[in-house]
This record gives sequence, structure tokens and C-alpha cells, in this order.
Amino acid sequence: MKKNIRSVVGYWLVATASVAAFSPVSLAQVSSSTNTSSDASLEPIKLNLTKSSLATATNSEASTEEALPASVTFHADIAPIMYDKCAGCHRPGQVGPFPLLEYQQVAERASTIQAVIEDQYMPPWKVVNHNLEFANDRRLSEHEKKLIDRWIELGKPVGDAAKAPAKPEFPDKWILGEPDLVVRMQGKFEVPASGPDVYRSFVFPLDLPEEKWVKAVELRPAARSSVHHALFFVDTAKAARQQDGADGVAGIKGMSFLAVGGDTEEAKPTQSSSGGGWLNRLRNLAPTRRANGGRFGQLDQALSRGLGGYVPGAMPSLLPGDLALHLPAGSDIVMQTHFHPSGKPEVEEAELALYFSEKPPTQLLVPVQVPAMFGFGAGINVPAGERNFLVEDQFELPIAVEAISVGGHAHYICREMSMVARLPDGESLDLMEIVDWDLDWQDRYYFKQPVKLPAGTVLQTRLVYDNSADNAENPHQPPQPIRWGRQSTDEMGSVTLHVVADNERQRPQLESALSSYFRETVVNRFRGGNGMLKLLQQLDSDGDGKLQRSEAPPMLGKNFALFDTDRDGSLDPTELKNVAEVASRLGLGRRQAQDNVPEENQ
Amino acid sequence: MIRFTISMTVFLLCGVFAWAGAAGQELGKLSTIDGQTYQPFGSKQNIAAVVVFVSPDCPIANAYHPELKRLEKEYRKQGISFVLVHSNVSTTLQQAKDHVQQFSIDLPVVLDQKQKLAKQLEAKTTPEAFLCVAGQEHPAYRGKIDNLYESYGKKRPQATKHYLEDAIQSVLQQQEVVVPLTKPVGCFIEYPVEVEEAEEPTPSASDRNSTSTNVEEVPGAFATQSPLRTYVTVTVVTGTAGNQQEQSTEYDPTSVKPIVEKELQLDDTTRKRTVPIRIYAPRDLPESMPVIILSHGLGGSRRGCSYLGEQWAGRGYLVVALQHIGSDESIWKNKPRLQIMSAVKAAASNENLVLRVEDVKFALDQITEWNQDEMHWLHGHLDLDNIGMSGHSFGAVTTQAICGQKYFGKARYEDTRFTAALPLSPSKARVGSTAAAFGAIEMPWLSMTGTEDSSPIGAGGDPESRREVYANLPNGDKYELVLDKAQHYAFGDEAARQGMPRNPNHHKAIRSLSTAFWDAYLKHDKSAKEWLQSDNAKQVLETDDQWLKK
Repeated sequence: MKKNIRSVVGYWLVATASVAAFSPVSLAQVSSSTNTSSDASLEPIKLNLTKSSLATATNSEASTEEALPASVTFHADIAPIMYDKCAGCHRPGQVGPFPLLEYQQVAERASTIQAVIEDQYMPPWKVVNHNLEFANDRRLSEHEKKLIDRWIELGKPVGDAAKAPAKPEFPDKWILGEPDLVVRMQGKFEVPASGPDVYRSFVFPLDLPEEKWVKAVELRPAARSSVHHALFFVDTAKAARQQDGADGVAGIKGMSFLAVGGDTEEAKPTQSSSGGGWLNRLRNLAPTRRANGGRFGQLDQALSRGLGGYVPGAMPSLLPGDLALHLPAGSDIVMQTHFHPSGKPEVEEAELALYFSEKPPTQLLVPVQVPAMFGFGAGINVPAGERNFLVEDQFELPIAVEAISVGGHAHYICREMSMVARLPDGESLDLMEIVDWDLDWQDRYYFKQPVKLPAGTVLQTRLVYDNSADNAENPHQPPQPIRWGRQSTDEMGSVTLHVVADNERQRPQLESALSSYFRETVVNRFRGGNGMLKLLQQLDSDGDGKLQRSEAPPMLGKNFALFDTDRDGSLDPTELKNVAEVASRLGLGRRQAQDNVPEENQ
Repeated sequence: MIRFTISMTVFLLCGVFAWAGAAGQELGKLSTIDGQTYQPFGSKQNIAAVVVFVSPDCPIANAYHPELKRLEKEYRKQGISFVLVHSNVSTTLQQAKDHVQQFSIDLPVVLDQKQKLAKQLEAKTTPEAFLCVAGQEHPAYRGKIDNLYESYGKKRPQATKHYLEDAIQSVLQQQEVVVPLTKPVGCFIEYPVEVEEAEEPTPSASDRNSTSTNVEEVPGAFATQSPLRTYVTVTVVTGTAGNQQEQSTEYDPTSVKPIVEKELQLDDTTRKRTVPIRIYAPRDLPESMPVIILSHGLGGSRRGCSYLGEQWAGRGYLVVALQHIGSDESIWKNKPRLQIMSAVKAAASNENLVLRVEDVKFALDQITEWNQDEMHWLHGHLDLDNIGMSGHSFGAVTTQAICGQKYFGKARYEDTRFTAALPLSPSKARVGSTAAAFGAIEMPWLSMTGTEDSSPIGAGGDPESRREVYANLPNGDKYELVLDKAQHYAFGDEAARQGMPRNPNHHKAIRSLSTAFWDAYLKHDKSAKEWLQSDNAKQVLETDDQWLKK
């Protein structure tokens, strides 16, 4: 029995502990703060697990050498794989749709198990990097896959129960142990039995009198069959609270990432013609670059103030070392949830457990998102039918950092997503490589060893979108042009690398560079011809088809009169086109070409 | 150990009806989980039954309950009955009942723990839907409910193709089902075999003979003393007992996979002529499959030589069996007995040969269009660089004509799209020299006949003359099988005629050698060719059968 506790509990600890390897002290912290089977977690973790993740990463070498045993039985060979890699979710009370603990449960689904493994659908894991190992790698090793294949070939023999590892014991409630704070979401939400997927953000009011440092967030959804994934954001302005329930039901409708920034476009569709909060911000954009980002900086922070996410299959884990995320006093947590209707109605009333750090971290985790703002200014403007629409962007690191983890975000038609680090010495390193992006599995991938990136490293993100009719997940049939936007039928795209500065005192340099990069993104968006025109048109708050001086962005400034050729105090469509035209000629921004991709509906 | 506490009365739905059987007389009778008897074809109004295999915990199957409820509501009044079937052996009555509660299911639910229904329909997946039309042997549709799920984790925002519903509507409108087969996405149904039972020859005859393939149950390799059931993947083999050695390197022309069959009519607007066809296709469509066209004998139909259609489709070929109006069964059906022979003789005309050849060419044009038509269920699956032609008797004459036989020095009916020919009971040239007719054919040919293969209408063929075809073919990829004491009908489906018992080995030999021939020349399978040219081929023959090659 003991042995099993170790192997299973060890699983998530491995995930945490290996990341923490660069700071040996942290392992003890991790263990002591978890409150679970302390004897198991304190022992050095030997584990075939570690071995198997190695085998996966370098699969050609390691796996071919490992010969299959002559007999493969459930108890001796298959049960350990199920316990380690599957039963975390596939056990009673968890999100897996059926348990995979007993012989019969596994045998009766053997072909299905084989098929979803072969399809790389299970265990959920989307990155296919070849040169880097991830601490939380959940994949089966080639050897494990072969064992399953062989077992099925042999007729799924049971084997000797004496050889079976004891069934794993899982923590009753919170996997990370007793939380520091448990919060319940505001209100209840009924998930329908059928229909399209539902995106909804829910508010968890915290009302913390003082700031906190978050080591981990663990979610317990109530609608287990329907919840697909969730992302957590910090709402410092309590803006989401005000939108909560605007449509008469708990939560905020849609895929509104920017809800935390007070954006309400999706929550109140009637406002969308006048642009909503997002464009309100654009209305106030100053044309000149401010040294420290100004409003951009604030918005940038709000956007990237993620607290991680919940993906089935991803075990919650504590941030490595003394790293922790900042939770300012008085802020709320907003959970953006994606539901797959399951065939039966369910009620969501999730609970969130928070694990705090005693003290602020010595190093602050800095999210480096490329392209910035989920690709807002990156020219995501995919013509209908286009199979291989490429978006590339890059950011140069001004200081030396260590990368801790990587993750991406995009919607339905993104297919490939990668981030490559071009090192100053000419070498390059694939930090993340996803060839079959799936919105359903937005995971964060923790590097097994922190990746050292010297100053001058260029982080290049490459995104490929498939807007053809052949893409089953295309939200439009027949395909329509898809632009950047927050609706699930719009597109986004970025890769976010979490880094810490080698020298914490240099961190402000990085943050400043990120602010500039962020600002440049918005300005670039303005420069693009069609994109620019559309944006300007969206600023038309009163919907009269013209842009009054009061509606015009400050960047137009004195030039307003110049473009107002008929001197009626407003810019009509022809005049606006001139603005866009001039802007694009003046701009010559590097993303201009992409922004000018012709649209079929124009 | 699971005890079967529920008495199941599962009669077979699809499959109990003979092709010409009177519709709706023997109807399925099912025991539902609430103890009721449910008859999907219980009344005359019941045109068809939709059978959907489900499971208590397959997320994809479960997501469909609202849609199934909608379909049932929509079509029940129009004579379509619905039934949900649990065929996982471990699903208990209580689980099935709880499932009904959880998903507010109001359709009849059947617990099929012994998997009789699942085996009958060869269900593999949950959810997998079957549309069984009263009086028809094969399901009019089998597969996905719709295309909401493209694959695991690939889900459309909404379904854009409603396969099951479209099929229901076609049946209601008495039209051909356009897409008769799709590959379901979901959780597989496992077919466990109880070790204790497998050692007894228990499977009922109906289980084994009802479909084109027999389910061979392989005893568990690890029969322990454990009372636990041992699960064994069911392998599907035909004919001889399965070779239990996996991945035998030896070429085996007998093993086949499940198939589907479908009948429809092709309308040739140019010739103002209809060509009824029967399609035999592998149930799991291969990426690319060669095509074989099959032509019946005088007075036959598209259902002739079905054992070959099933065999070849089971080997991964698309077999299209044509019916040639004018020389088909219509020439004798409903005719006074005494007139039949003269009518049949009259139909063996050159006019009909021309019609047949044109039917073949037209059918191949259609097949080519299907392959290009993105909406067609066979789209992109056909290997049109490798096409075989076969037929029996008049169908063999048709085959010969299409595949290069010369008439007065000219291969006037030849269609160069064909790759290989397999005439069954061929005929020598009616007029002129047989050597001139066949002497220049380069295409691979396999000619099959029997030592008693004379003409049933007393024209055009005695056993010796049939062999002249092979004798006059030039060397190179030419084969001949002469079955000892085989009569003309040994090559057809019909039960023995005139009290002559059928030699069971004849069909086996025809199936094996024809399969190896197609594999060698349409799939370019080296091991098949080696097998064909080695003495191995003789292993499927009896001592006095002759196997020649040149």
C-alpha cells in the first residue's frame, strides 16, 4: 500500500519538485506546505515516472532498448501505467468520464484507450518539443504504449494479483492539501444539456484586506462532466463584479479575456457597435510614446495577470522555488470557463482553493507574451478559405533571464503554435512547439530545468491558422474572414513565456521593454490599412457613419482638420479612408503587409 | 463474475429477412430495461428502426441524447422507431436505469449484455447508429449520428452533416440513402470471450451464418484459474478456423474484414438506360482501394456471385456488381415455364453484349465521378489506376470483351482503364479464330472453369471450349483454374441444382485464388504474387483440380 501512495503522490510532486530543482530549499517548502502523506513526499522520488518522462523526451534512444517482457499482464504491467498516468482524472469523483482503476474498467475500454493514445488525445499533452523536457509531462512513454498494445494482443490477461501495486490513494478533497483560502464562485450557473460550447466568466470575490502571494490555485468544478477548462485572472479593479449577472444569469457571457480590464463588449452586445471598454481605451490613447507605458502598462498588466488555469489532466502544482504571483489587496479572481454540454444539465458552482506564500518572492515572475495582447496588433486577419495563414512576431530580451514555463493561447482555427529562442550566439532553441493546437487543452508547460536565456535573445512566435472548410473546428461554415477579437468565433494568438530575471534589479528593464513592445503593438494596429479603417469606424459611438471630433482618437490631434476636407466637423467614410491610407503610407510598419491582406467580404 | 439476471429476447433485426422476403412479417422483439417487450416493427406503420448503441459513460455517446430525443420525436409519427442498446458486458441493469434518469431518456433501452445485437449488427462503437428498414437484409445506414465529432477532441461548433437524419428521410421518401456508411467516433465496444464458453462449440448457427463474415472467437491465451473474465479481442476471419498466430508472415488470401453492401440505380441519361448496381465495400474504408466490376450471367442480377462481392470487399476492394437489363432476371421472371429457355437464348445476343459493355463503361465513369465528388461517401477512397473486371458466363464474355478480346481483328469493346481480368466460365470466340481473339492480350488474366462446366442453354460453351481461352492467351501473368467436377453453377451463389450437391471446396478455392490474383495485380502485393506462383496456391485445391500458369 505504501509503495503506491508514493508512486501516485509522487507524480505531481515530481512535476513540482523537478522544476524546483534549481532551488533545493524549495522542495522542502513544497513538501511541508502540502500536508499530504509526508513520508512519501519527503523521500527521494525514484519512480519509473522520472524514467518514463525521460524516455518520452528522447524517445528514440531510450525506448527501443527496453525490451517488452514475455508476458504482459494487467496487474504487473498495465495497472501501474493506469495509476500513474490516467487515474488522476479517471477515478470516481474526478473529471474523467469513467474510472480506470480496476481490471474490468480498463479491459472493457482497452481498444478505446489504445485509440485515444494513438490519436494523442490522451493523456492530454500538446507540446512536441524534441530538445527540452517538461517537468509536468503526462505522456506515456513509447515503452508504456507498447506494453498496452502487447497486452491487448495477448488477450488482456489479468495476471497475478500479488504482483499488483496497491491501488493509489488520492487525497479526499484538495490535491495540494489544506488550502489557505477557499472561495466559492458568486452565484450558480446552469450548464445546458446540449447546444454549442459555452464560454462564461465567473467572479470569485476575495475581499482581501491585504496583498497576497499565490503559490497555486486549485479548482473543484461542480459541473464535472461539462467543465472543459478554466483560466484564472486577477481583477484588480473589481470590474468584472459589476458585469456579473448582467444577462440575468451568474457570470459574464462569452470568451471575454479582457473582462479583467473592464471591457464589456461581449457582456453587453448592444454596446459593441460603439466599441465597448476596449475601444474606450483606444479613444484615450496618446499618440506619443510615454516612457513607462502609461495606460498601456496598466492594461498590459491586467491582461497578463493570469493565475494559471485548470485543464483536466493537469495536476495542480505549486510554483517552483519561492516564486509566487501577486494578488493585490481588494482584487477578485475571475475564472473564464469553457463548458462542453454533456448531454445532461449540470449546475456549476465551483470552489477555488488558494495556496499562499508566507512572504513575497525574491524574484518576480514576468510574463513575456509574444505577440503582445494575444496578437491584437499582429495582423491576425485570416481570409476565408486560407489554409496556412502565418503570423510571426518577436521580442528581444534586454536582460538575461531564466524561463520557467511556457503556454499559449488561441481560438479554434489556429493549427500550429511555436516559440523559438534565437540566442545571441546564433544557436536557437525550441521553447514550445505545438503542431495541432487545440483550444481545449490550454496548458502551461513547466521546463524540467529552467532555461537560461542571455540578454539579446530574440523570442520568435510563429502561429499558423487554418480558415478552410476542411478545418472541422472552423466556427464558420462556409468559412468567413476571421479577425482578431474576443468572441470565440474571432481569433487570437500568442505564446507566453514566464521568466525570472537573472538579476532581479534588472527586472524593470525587461518590464519597460515589454511595455514598449506592447505599445508598439497597438500603434502597429493603427498603421495597418484596412485594420486601421475598421478601427476608426468602430470609434463611431453615435453610429452616424461619421467620426466627430469628440469621437476621434487623440492621435489624430491637429490633423483632424486636415482630413476633414468638407469642413463639416466630422470625418465621413471617404475622409476616414484617407486617414487610413495616409497612416499606412507613413507607417510602413513591419506588420503592414499582413494587415493589408485583402478581405473577401469587402 | 457477472450473472445475467435479465432474460433477453433479442431477435435479429437487420439480417433476418431474405432479400425477396415479405416485409415486416418477422419482427424484432426486445425486452427493455423496464421489463416491457418492445417491437421496433410492431405495427405496419413501422417502416424502419433506428438502433443506437450507447454506453453509460462514453462522453461522446452521452452528448447525443438530446439529439436522439429530438430525432425520435420528429420521426416516430412517420413510422421510425428508435431503440438504445447497451452492449458493454459489464453494464448492469441498475446502471442502465440510472443512466436513463440522468439523461432524461425516454426512448426504449435494451440491455444487450450477451452482445447478441451488437454481434448481429457488428457494432463497434458507442454511439453507432443503424437504420434498419423492414424487410431489408442490410442496414440502410450505419455509422455516426452526425458529424459533430470529427475525431477525438475535434468537435464542430454544430454538426453540418446529419447522416442519420438524411438516411431516415431518404427511406421515408423511398429514395436511395446517399451516404450509407460513415465511421463512428466514440468509445469502442469490446467483445469479451469467456474462456470456459469458448472451448465449447456453442455459438449458434444464426450468429455465424447471418453475415458475410464469421466471428471467430479466439480462446484467451491466458486462461487462468481466476474466475475473472478474460477479455479477448475478437478477430474476424472467414471460413477455416483462424490461425491464432498473430502477424504470420505467410500470405493468407482467406482472411477478410467486415463489409457493407448497398444497392442503387445508376441512370444513364445518354443511353436512357438504368443500370441497377450492388456495391460491396469494406466497412472501414481504406485510404485507397482498387475497384472491381462484376458482371452477372444470363438471367442473373446484381446479386449474383455475392460470395465473391463479399470476399473481395472484405479484402479491401470496392466491388460494383452490375445488373444488365435485357439479359438479366427479367427475361425469365413471370414468364411461362416453356418460354423461358427460348427467351434466355434470345437474350444471349450481340446486342446485349454491346449493352453490357456500355453498362460497364458507364458504371466506371460514374465511379470515377464519385471519387471526385467531395460529397460522395467514397470520395477519394478509390484507386482508379487499378481496376479489375470479372463476371460469370455472359459476364465472362463481357469481361473478355472489355479486357481486350478481338472481334474480327479488332478489340472493339476494349476499355483500357482496366488492369486485370478474371472471367468465370469464359467462352471462346464465337466466330473466327480463338487464337486471334486472345493471342495479343498482355493484361493479367485468370480464367476459371470446371471439368463439367457446360452451357446451361446448350450454346457457346462446353468444358473443353472454355479452356481454349486460356490456351490461346500469350505467356505472362496468365492463370487458369479448372475445378474437378465443377459445373457451371459452381461459380454462382445458387444452391446446388438438380439435386447435385455442391462441393464446399469449390467456393473456397475460387475465393482464395481470385483474392490472391487481385492482390497480386491490383494491389501489387508481392507476397500474393509469390503465393500465386508457388505451390502454396495448390493447398486450397483438391487433388484433381488443375492450377496452371504461364
